[in-house]
Amino acid sequence: MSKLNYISINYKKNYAIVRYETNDDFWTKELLQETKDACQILQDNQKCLSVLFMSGSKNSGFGWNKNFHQMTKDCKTIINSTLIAIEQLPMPSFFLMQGVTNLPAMEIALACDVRFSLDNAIISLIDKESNLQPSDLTFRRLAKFSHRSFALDLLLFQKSLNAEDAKKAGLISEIYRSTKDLSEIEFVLEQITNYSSIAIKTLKESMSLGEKTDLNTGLNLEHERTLQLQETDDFKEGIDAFLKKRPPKFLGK
Amino acid sequence: MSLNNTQSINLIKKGSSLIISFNRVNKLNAIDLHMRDIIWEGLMLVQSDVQINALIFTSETPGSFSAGADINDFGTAPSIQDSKNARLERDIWGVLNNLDVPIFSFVDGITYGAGFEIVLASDYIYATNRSSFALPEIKLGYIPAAGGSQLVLRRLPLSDAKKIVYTGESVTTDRLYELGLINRILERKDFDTAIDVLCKELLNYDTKEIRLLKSKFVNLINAN
Repeated sequence: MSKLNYISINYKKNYAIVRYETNDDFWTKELLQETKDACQILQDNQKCLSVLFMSGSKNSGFGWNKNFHQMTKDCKTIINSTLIAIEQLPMPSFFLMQGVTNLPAMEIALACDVRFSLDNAIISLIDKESNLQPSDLTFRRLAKFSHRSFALDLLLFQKSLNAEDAKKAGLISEIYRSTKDLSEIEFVLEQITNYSSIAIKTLKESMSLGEKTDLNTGLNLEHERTLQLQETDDFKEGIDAFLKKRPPKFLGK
Repeated sequence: MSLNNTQSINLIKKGSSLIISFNRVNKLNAIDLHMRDIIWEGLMLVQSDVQINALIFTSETPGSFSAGADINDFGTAPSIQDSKNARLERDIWGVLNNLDVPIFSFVDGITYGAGFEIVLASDYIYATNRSSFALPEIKLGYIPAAGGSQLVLRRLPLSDAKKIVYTGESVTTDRLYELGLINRILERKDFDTAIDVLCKELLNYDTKEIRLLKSKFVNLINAN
């Protein structure tokens, strides 16, 4: 377990849980900087195959710091570099939305690959008292919502979404009961740790690059990566295991 | 009119539409090398026959659209260079994703791997409520190889797209309908009638015009 001042990183069977351990809902520059530091720690851990970002408390969530917008240019720079650090993690990243989730936590959530939510989540993007605009990455993610109206409700009209609406919008993929423990969510992360580490990292790279390119370039990229994987022991193991109807044992080779 | 009835896969020309129908019952329509050959033949026919203005994928096997690529063929994979050359010569997925006629898929049941990748390349997707969709390649130590990792990013919101690919777990018709990928939920027993009606309706449209407009549309959306 790695402990920063406000964030803990708890390693469990090749996945990590990054937990914000602050006593209040406030976001500070230090907290964003620590999020970046946590990403660096995760980057350096070759064995970690998936990561979940979540609040330390099930109910308090990720609120808005009323003074945050006063931090001007410095804070914008830190937000952007923090989002890039999350986006560039080599393993799939998950975010659990809980309670009130507002800027900048919402941007961190959108920088993660997959978002889950507890049923108590209230999700919004822009605080009425602030004129701080979301980053370009957040705009790109909002454009991918399945219903444009939900994105514009968040962006233009400062409305909030409950968990059900956020799922309809494609902002989150699963809703979990806040009264239950985290075992269902952790099962998803643990499942990935059973897969080939080379395949997971290749897939993450292929998806990340594919998001920023045209389809035909993306298809060629996928083909190139597939051919590289065909040369690995893990690929041969996966096929052999399937044909012999036994669970595969991937060694990351 | 049946053009190539080989039992495991059929090419049928109906009106101005070409239907590719999977029928490899004992293998849940897993796509083997022979079926790939016939799909390629169908795509070449669509490209060359100016009378055709739509491509329709379906399955004659209740409960299975396609379980994906036939894993038994994986052992026959040639060298990397041979694979690259084969793709240059016959890029099925590249042609499918750039086709200048609308693609319809009527889906019932298991739709995994390459089966789901065909669906993701389709413009109109009609599915039964019992269908399930997955890209399970990661469970076998590889990644989707027929455009799945790229198409899913473009057809679904990112969180669901990445969850499908990273976990390899299946997703339901209801969820894909909610996200707008599936156009209509149908019952299996209504497939034949729906395909007949569709083929008759497509006769009313000018093939040249359809190809021109679809081509422009594809170029635009594929350019990201």
